[in-house]
Parts: sequence; structure tokens; C-alpha cells
Amino acid sequence: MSGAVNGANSTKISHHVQPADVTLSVNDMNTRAERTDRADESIPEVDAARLLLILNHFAGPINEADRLQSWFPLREVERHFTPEYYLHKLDFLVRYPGYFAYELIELYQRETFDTQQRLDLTTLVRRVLHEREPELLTQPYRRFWRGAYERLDEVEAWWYARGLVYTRGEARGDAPPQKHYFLTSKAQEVASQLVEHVEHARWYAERIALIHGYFGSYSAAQIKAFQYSHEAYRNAQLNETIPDLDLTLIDRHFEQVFGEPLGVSLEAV
Amino acid sequence: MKPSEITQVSPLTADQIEIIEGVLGKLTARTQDRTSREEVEQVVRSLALEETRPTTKAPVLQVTRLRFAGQKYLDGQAPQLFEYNQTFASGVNVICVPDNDVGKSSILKTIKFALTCDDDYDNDVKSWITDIWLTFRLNQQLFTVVHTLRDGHRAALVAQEEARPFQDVVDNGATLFEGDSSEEVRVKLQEFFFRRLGLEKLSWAHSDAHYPLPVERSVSWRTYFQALYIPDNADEYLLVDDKHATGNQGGLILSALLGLSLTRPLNRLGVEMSLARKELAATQKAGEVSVSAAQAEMAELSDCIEGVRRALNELSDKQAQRRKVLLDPQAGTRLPQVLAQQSVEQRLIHSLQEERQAIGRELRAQRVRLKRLEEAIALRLHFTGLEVELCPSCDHDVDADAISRERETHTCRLCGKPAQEANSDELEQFRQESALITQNIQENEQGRRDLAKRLEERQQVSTQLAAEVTLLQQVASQSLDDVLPTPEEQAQTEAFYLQLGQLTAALNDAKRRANPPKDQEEVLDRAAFTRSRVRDYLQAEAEKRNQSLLTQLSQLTQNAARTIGAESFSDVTCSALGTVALKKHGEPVKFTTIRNQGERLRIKLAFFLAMMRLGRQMGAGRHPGFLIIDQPGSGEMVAEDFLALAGIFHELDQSNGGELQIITATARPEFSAATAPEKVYGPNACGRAF
Repeated sequence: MSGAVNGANSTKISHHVQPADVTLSVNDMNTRAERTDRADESIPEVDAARLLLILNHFAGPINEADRLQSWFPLREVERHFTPEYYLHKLDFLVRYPGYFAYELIELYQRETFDTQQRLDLTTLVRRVLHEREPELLTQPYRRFWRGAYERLDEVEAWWYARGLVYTRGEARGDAPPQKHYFLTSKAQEVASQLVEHVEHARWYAERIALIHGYFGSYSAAQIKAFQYSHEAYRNAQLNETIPDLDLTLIDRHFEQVFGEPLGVSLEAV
Repeated sequence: MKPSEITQVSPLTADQIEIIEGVLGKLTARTQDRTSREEVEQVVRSLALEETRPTTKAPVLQVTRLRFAGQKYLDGQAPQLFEYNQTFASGVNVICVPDNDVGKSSILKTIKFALTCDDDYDNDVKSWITDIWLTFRLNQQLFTVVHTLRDGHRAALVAQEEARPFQDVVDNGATLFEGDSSEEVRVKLQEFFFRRLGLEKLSWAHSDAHYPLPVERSVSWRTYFQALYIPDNADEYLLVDDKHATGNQGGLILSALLGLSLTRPLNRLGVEMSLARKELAATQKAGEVSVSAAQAEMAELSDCIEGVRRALNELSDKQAQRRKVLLDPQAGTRLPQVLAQQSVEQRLIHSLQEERQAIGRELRAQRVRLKRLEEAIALRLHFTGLEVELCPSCDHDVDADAISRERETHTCRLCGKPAQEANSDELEQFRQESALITQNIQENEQGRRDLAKRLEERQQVSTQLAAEVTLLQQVASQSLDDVLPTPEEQAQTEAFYLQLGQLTAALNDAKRRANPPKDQEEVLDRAAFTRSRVRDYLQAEAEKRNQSLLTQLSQLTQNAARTIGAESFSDVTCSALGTVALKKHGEPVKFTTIRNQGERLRIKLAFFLAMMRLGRQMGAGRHPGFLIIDQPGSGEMVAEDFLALAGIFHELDQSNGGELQIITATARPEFSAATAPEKVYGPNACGRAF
């Protein structure tokens, strides 16, 4: 299977909100008349929920020195996450199960696994492919200057208006400002309730937990480097959706690394 | 055929006619087809129906002297040479040694062994005895049978009293017979006594696991002797032990000894009937096995024949196809046509494959979209209660008035502009779109299945066209010779036809074996049936003729039985076939089911005595008037009954004089009353019998 999941009649949605600009109105958030690309349109609640779960899992304690910064929020916050591209790279692994499976195989080559851990890893890879996740669950991502990127203005405004996550930009001279995400206590509550009540959110939470478990010790730059190592990713055109990996490539790589066949049918559903 | 060669059939006697008519007259509508007059006549003609009543009584057998010698080995004692030498008189003889295990039974067993070669000695006694001289009388003629057991068993019979060692007897050359082995001696003794006593060679049909068909066996002299010998505690059977109970040998012996009417023909018919039935059963069983095996073989052969025919047809089709293509006048133009057709099919297949892939892609996109919509609906509903509280633009809290205004007038709580009722509408749109996509997915899946089916059909057509192209291309490069059968194909065809012929012949043979002719079974069945009917008739006739004799047997037995304490037996009868029936308190009982051992012994004793007395009557039986009884009256016989038994013996001794001889052995001194004092023989000096 090749190519991104892209409907024959896809239409594009344009985002006019600049990075770190959170002045989008509620009306804009609720208006859908301008949406022409139904196939991959961004639905704020979906993205907000998914990204909230990522932040909730990966955010760390607040550095006390940051509290003195001008960009630190005035409202009460509890945890902190930065930078924005790290969020995109993690979101990419959630939205591209094929890449996730491939990175797991690569992980086995980089690190040491005991027998049980090896078995867990191979089982996970096989499960991802057996359940057709690359075909059924891939959500296309657009390529920007630094790889997978989509504007998060609507999402950030959505969070902000509900008191979940405050987004602040740290000026860095001529360089683009660095985004900081500050999570409130309410964010953790809302994330927990999401997982408890919404089945789709449970899947996201489980996947994010796996990503955290296997790749949590890697830096944002390292994660980015892993993704850039793929030719399809590197060669994706600017502002075009990044194509998914060929399943036969994953199959071959699995057998090459683990010395045993994948044993999963790759016939298209 | 010359007149002299024509077999003369003698006319039927009145008896034969009567029997034939009697048998045929008893046939019913159901059974009359199972035999015919000719068959009944044939059986009746084969029987010796004449009652050849002997004009003289059977010879009396009496032992006059028993002598045996050897070396005795008793525990704790040195080997002792011994010799037993005792004369016996006619009438009742009592060996009385008031102790057990002193050799009384061995004396009696030695008499039996000397007369029959039946050896049931205890092993120790058997090893002691080296030589035996038994002098006996048949009527007035004396004979001595001399046995030597040194270095095997040899024996000789002389017609005089003899006391010399065996070798001297033989060297003398005046022997009536000599035997160099136990088996030879046994056979010669049997021939001698059968001839001298005029005993019938009666037989029965014996089934043996080693032979497929039953064989005819005759009653032996040793078995006859069981009617002349009552061992100690022999209460398990009336006349013959279990080993000799097959084929109604007891009945045969009784019939012969009593001289029952029609014994010979009844025995003959019984044997032939039994042989026929057993052979019929064996034939049927063999037939069943054979038929079953033949049927299995038929099925297997049929499969093989079918396989060969299929192979022949395939070969033939292959050759026909080649010929058809080559001989087809259109063959030359056919190839480009087929190639064109193949090209069209391939383009069509390619188009279908692309279409299927396109549907696949659309399906995947639809599934992704459907999942996204379902997520959106679920999350939208979940977040319904999550209110907007802050303005992301100015970072001010939304005040309560703005919230109320939004609810009442639908103006945005943040910017005051009219708010669109988009949420519920959008949710409904999501739902409708979701339903529509679900329907589209189902339609696409069906469409893809239909495409797959069409694709498969086209691929089959394409495969056939490819095969035809190959063939046409081959043909184009060939000549006529190439389509004729090749030498290999010819050889293969010939081999198939040969195999077919062999298989067909084998199948026919199996069919024949699966449906065997019933002739043989029918013949055997008719033979058995005819004989059984003739036997039934003769048996009824014999019952009438034997009535008087059997009544006497019954009375004699009952009287004797009552005298010795078996009063409860009200009836002792014997059929024409010699089968003994008892009644106790008026109820039929079998001898072996009488629980009391003493009762059994008393009945047996009474029966033997009655048999002996009756068998001595003129014109009746062939009983030699000789009886050996080991420990008479053992088995709970009370003193009074024992004395009564002694009284019976005494009476026999007195009344029958030289006509009978009974030799008994007992440990009970009171039995001396059974005979005259000079015929009571006590222990030797050591207190033993010998």
C-alpha cells in the first residue's frame, strides 16, 4: 500500500491564524462554511482532545526560573511543555501507526531488550499491522519547513477559552518565538474524564502511553531525526501530506531485524 | 452302459417302506419342500435296520489274578522291592484295608491300566511299578496281558495264564498281539475287547478347531470302560466324565451295553446329521467371509477400472485436441484472432484491477473519514458541558451577563457578534454524513466483491486463451506427424488396455465369488433335514421297542437307590439315545444339579448295578458283567445304608454267581458283609494294600 490516505475529492482548509496568535474568535471556531476539504478537515474538538492527551502525558513540572519570565502566564498553572515542534513530532507518531511500528523495529536495533521485552515489542508491531492501523487510522499530516506541521491556532484558542492550556510565546530575537504550553489542573481532570468516558480517547491515551514508554527518553531533536531518516518523509513536498510507509517495507525490515517472519497478511482491506 | 454294469436296486423291505411312509407323512406344508421321497428312501436304504439280537450273552469278563511288581520309594525309608499277587473270584471281591493312602486305589487302577492302557496313577506309584501280569477270563477262555514299563511301555497278550517276564513271553512267540508303545498297546487292546465283547463301534461328529470340517470320532474302549469303573469320589458325572461327554458318548455307551433297539441306525443318523449340520455351518461361515472379501475386492477393482478408463480418455482427448487444431481449416487464421482476443481480455483485466484498487482506496478513505466523524461526534458530545470561560484574545474572564445574553439573544459571549447555531446543526450533519458514508462503504464493498468475481472470470478466460495460443503456436510449427499418437502414447494406450482386461477379468471373478451358488449349502441342509426326520421316526420306534427294557432299568435303579438311602428319586428313565433323565420328588433334575454328594454317589452306584444286571440278560446288552468300585459308600453314607449296600452286593454275589464280578476296595471293615469271607482281601504284613 502506498501513498497517503487521501480521498478522491479532498478539499483544502486554509488556516489564517499565525503561530502563537491565539486571537481566533469563537465564531471562527464554530464556523464550517469555509471548509471545503472534508476529507482531512481539522475538527477542533478532535485535535484538541488528542493533543491535550499528549501534553497531559508528556508535560513536566514547571521550572521555577521560568515563573520570572515575562511570558509566564498570570493564571494558575501546574505543568509545562515545550517546544511546539516536539508536540508535532509526537502527534505524528500517533497519527501515522506505520511509522510508529517502523520506529519500534528501529528501537530494537538501538537498544538492549531482554527476552520478554523483545516479545512485547514484536507482539506490539504485529498487533498494529494485524489490526490494519496504517490503513484505517492514519490521519494525514502536512509537511512544512521542519517536517510534519499544522497550525494549532484553533486548538490553542479552544484550550485557552476553556482554561485548560495557556499557550505563550518566548521571543528569541530574529528566530521564531518558542511556544510554551502551560497546563492547568483542570487540564488533567478533563484528560482523565476524556479517557474514562470516550472510547476513541482511550485508544489515543494507550498509544500515547506506548510512545511515552518507548520513546519518552528521547529528545525532540532525536525524534525529529528518526522521522527525517525516512526517504518518503524527507521527500514529501512542502505543504503536501506526508505519505505513509509501504507495508512491505515494514514487513521486510521486521524479518531482517528480528530474524523471523512478521506473519501478518498485508492484503489491503 | 452294459447290462452287467447296471446297479441292481433291491426292493424295499416292509420295514423300510413303513419308515419312509412314516417320515413323509409327518412333513408339513412348510417342510415338505426340504426333502423328497427319493432322499428319504436313500437314507433309509443306507441304514442297518435289522435287529441282530445276539443269540448268546456277551462274554463275562472276570479278573482271575493280578500281579504286579516294582520298587517302592516311601519318604524316610529305603527303596523296597515289592510284589503284589492276588487272585480274584467271580462274584463280589472286597479289598479291605482299614486305612487311607495305603494303595487300595492303585490296585484297582492297575487293573484298569492293564485292560485299557488308561493311566491315571499318582505319579509316585506310576514310577514304582515295572511289570504287570493281569490274567482274566472271557467266559471260560483265559488270557493274560503282560505289561513291562522298563524303558518305555511294551505289552503282549497271550491266551493262557502267564507268569514269566515279558521278554520271555515275547520270545516264546505265542502272543496274540504285541505292542511296543502305549498307543499301540491301547489300540490293540481296544480291537481285542471290541471284537470279543461284540461292542458296537459307535461314533459321533466332532468339531475340531484345527480342521475346517467336523470329523467322525468313535467311542473308545477306554471310554466304554468308564461304565465298568467307579473311581473314588466320582460323583461329578453319572456315566462319563466331562472329557468324554461330547457327542453323547455316555448315551452311546449305555445304548450299546444295554442292547437298546435301533442303536446302530440311530447313531449313524445322528452322526451323519451332525456332520451335515456342522459342515453346513462351516460352509456358510466360510461363504460369508468369502462373500464379504469378494465384495470389497469388487469395489476396489471397480475404482481401478474407472481410473484406467479416465486415463485412457484423457490420452484420447489430448490427441483429439491436437488433431482438431491441426485439421481445422481455420487454424491458420485462428492464432491472430486468439491473440487479439487475449489482448482485449488482458486490457479488461487491467481495467478491472485498477477499478478495484480505486474502490479500495476510496474505501480506505471512507473508513478513515467515518472514524473521524465518529470521533468528532463523541468528543463534541463529551465536551458539551465544557464552557468557554476566558477570552483567548484579551485574557479576561467571561462575565455572567455575557453568558446570559448569549443564551437569550444568541450573541457571542466574547465579542458580542451574533453567534451561529452551528453546534447542534453540525453534529447532525456529522451524523448524516456518517450514515451516508456507512452506506457508501457497504456499496463499495459489494462493488469490490462483484469486481473480484468478474476479475476471476476474466482471468479464467485469459488462461484458456493463453493455453490455446500456446497450442496454436505449437501447431504452427508442426506437421501432421506431430499430431499422430507418439510411440510413448501408443505404448501407454496398449498398457492401459492390457490392464483394463486384467482388471475386468478379476472383477468378473470377484463377482462370481460374491454370489456363490447355493447348491452346496442346499444339499447339506436337505441332507441334515432328511436325516433328522428319519431319526425322529426311528427314535419314536425305538422308544416303543425299548420301553420294557428301560422300565426295568428304571425299576432296578430306583429299588437299589432306595435301598441305599436315595428314596427321593421317583423316576430314572433312559431315552432311545441313552440319555438318562431323573426325577426327584416328581420334579425333573439333572444328575449334576443334585447338590448332595452322597446322593449323587448312591444314584450312580444304583445305576451302574442296574446297568450291569440288565446288560447280562439274554438278547439284550453287551455288558461284560464286570465292575470295579473304589470306596463304595463313601460320601456321607450312614452305617445303616452302608450295610444295606453291602446287602445288595451280597445278594448279587449269591444270586448271579459266575455271571458277575465286582472288585471293590474299602477302608470300612463292615463292608466285608458284602461277600463271602474268602473273598475279602486284607492288608499285607506292613498294613498296606501292597
